[in-house]
Amino acid sequence: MSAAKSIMFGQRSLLLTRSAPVVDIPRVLALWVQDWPVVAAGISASEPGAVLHANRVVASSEAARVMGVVRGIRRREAQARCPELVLAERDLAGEARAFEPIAAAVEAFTPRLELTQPGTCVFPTIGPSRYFGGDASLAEQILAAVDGLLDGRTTCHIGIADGVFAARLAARVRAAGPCIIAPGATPDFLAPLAITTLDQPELTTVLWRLGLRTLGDFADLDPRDVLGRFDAAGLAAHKRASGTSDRMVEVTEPPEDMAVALSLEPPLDRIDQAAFAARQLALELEAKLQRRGAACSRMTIEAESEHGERFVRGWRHEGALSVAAMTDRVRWQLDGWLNASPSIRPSGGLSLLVLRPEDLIPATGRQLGFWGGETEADQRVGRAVARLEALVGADNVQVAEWRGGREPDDQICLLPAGTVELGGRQLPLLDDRPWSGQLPAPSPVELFAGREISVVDEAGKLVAVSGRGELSAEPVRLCCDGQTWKRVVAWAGPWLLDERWWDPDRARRRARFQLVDDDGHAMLAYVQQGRWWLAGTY
Amino acid sequence: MALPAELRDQVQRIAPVVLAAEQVLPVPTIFHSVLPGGGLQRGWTARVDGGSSSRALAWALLSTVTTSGGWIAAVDVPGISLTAAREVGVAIERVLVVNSTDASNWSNTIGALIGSVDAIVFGAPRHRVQPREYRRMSSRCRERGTVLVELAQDKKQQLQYDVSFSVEPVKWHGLGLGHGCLQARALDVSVRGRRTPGGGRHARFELPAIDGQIRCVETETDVEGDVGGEVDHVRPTLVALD
Repeated sequence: MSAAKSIMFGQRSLLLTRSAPVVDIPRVLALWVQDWPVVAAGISASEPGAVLHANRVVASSEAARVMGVVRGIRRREAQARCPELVLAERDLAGEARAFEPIAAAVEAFTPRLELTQPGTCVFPTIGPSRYFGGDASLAEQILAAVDGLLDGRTTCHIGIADGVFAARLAARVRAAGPCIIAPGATPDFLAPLAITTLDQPELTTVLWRLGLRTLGDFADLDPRDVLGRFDAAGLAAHKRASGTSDRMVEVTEPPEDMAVALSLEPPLDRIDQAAFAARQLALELEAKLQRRGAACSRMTIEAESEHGERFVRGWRHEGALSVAAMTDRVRWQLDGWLNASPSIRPSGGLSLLVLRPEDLIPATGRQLGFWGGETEADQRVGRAVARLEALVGADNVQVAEWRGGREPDDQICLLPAGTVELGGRQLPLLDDRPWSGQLPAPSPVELFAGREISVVDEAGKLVAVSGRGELSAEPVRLCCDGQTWKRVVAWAGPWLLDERWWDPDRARRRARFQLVDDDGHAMLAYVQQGRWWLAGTY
Repeated sequence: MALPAELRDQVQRIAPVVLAAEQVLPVPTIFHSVLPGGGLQRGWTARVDGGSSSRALAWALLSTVTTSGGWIAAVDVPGISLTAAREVGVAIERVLVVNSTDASNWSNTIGALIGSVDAIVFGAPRHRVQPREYRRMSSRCRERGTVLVELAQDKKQQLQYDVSFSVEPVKWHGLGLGHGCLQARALDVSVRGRRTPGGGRHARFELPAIDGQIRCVETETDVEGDVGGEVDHVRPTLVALD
């Protein structure tokens, strides 16, 4: 009992020292592979290529940059600047998978490797640096190892500085060799850099307007004034800019083992199963963290194969990792391990997965909107959607989206529910946009595609509609199932529709009718190319 | 934001007792007179039959659930028309359309939805639903408070439902011989249920009426108390719009 108590107090005191301002921040090595998204997409450095996300360039190759294809421009603009540009859609999972061999090579130098995103990894140099003969020697050896793997496809840069923030910026200096900032020189290195390197747009735009153009200008401010004006987040940014702390927020170590584990039976060997397991673990970890009012900014993913091999990898994030972010990282990591080269791949399926939070930060939570926004019911449905997607596939779980059109099957389209934000959606109200040629409400309640029917006149001849929309005769009888004939007791039409004539695949030229048979069944039918089709029943 | 498990337990312990009759899904006022208790009790199983038009009735029945923030799911409803659902008042942004892809997936699909959505509408399953499978499903529904609505193709009723709606006949207004267009639909609906006192109740709904609204025109209750009795059907008549 007393022993347990003393351990608890021991941790309490550790907690206090950790959250006090850190002055001697650890030396960190950051490895940055230039243009990783482009390389992972299989575009060679010599040809102009760019990777797009949401129709904007997120990365481009050296040859494309020369032509003016830079980050942030639209697809069309990029193609205008460089017509022979090779384009690829961003595939984060693929990037992570391709990065795994490089991460494994760096892991030979340190056990404490952390990935921040595919293409960038960091680790504290304190142990490895001494073992491999100093910062410079360590960096040279890592460069040699990674360059061997990259095989000339792109270049890799290394930066060593005090703190993760400065080390990553040092790597991006793109010097020929490793960029090593001497211990204590980090504030001087940071001072001339642009304020936008903080990557906090809502803060840096204000600072820019206040006339602070470099990190040095910002660092010169009194921390007390920064705290008073910009709150804790502003103070953390100030500390990063002045090189005294590299965290976005104050971090504590988890006071107890908060890892969540999932044993997999049967062992996991396919990536689609991995996605499901990843989400389950992430949800579990989030619930556990939430109980302590915490979120995590760094986590370790551990896996054990059925033959007892262990795999460990850390992932770091600026700010808190959300469930989606954790899920993605677990999925990428499992994908990387399962698809690695045979020498480092697990020899069997993965039988145990552990997710361990490393750095805890206070969860600021999410304030739900007073009006509208996501509700408890929406969250419940979101979880059901995740389960169903694993069961029947993402394309078979759908929600409606308004599209507009003249025919009942045009007006609303169905989208995979996983791609849509379920909470707080609002579709436009009825009849908000006029579509000439649309039939008035009510609409058919059951729709049919490709169901041919026969509608005949008194003489038993198929009713035809001329090119000018004239009926050959009045419809008298109809047959929907090929056997029984029903009498037509009411009908109206033809209502002509000729749309999208410029697009041969989607063109429609038809004459629509409403028909009611003697059983009281109302239907919407149309004549196209001289044949009758059933569009829907009312 | 989800409550932590301990807190949830606490909430359950100290929550005031809720009577079964209070746990009802809201339905449009037009259904108040035909439903015992004035609403769809959570955990009920329901059945709607009588051709395409019965779907309009099912959508109308569940419309208030969606407009008050609840979700419904439609599992394996072939030729689903959400345009029609919207016209009778369903907020279709809260309708999940699920295709179970395979007969073996069907009960798992329904199972994943029970407790997550407020009501599940399902049409023709790809296989014959075994009474045992159905009983297990309906007991889970009672436990989790989800209403199960079957869109039946035929009138044959093999399973036990808490409430069943039978639509027949349908009368159409607005369409003549070569003129007009469909404007209003009148449905004669008989409602029977395990818990309905006496026999069924009959009502005539206008889905929609000439003015585009939905309303209940008349209601009557069977006094004979013959639950299985068939209603004397009248042939559909057509009222042409002058």
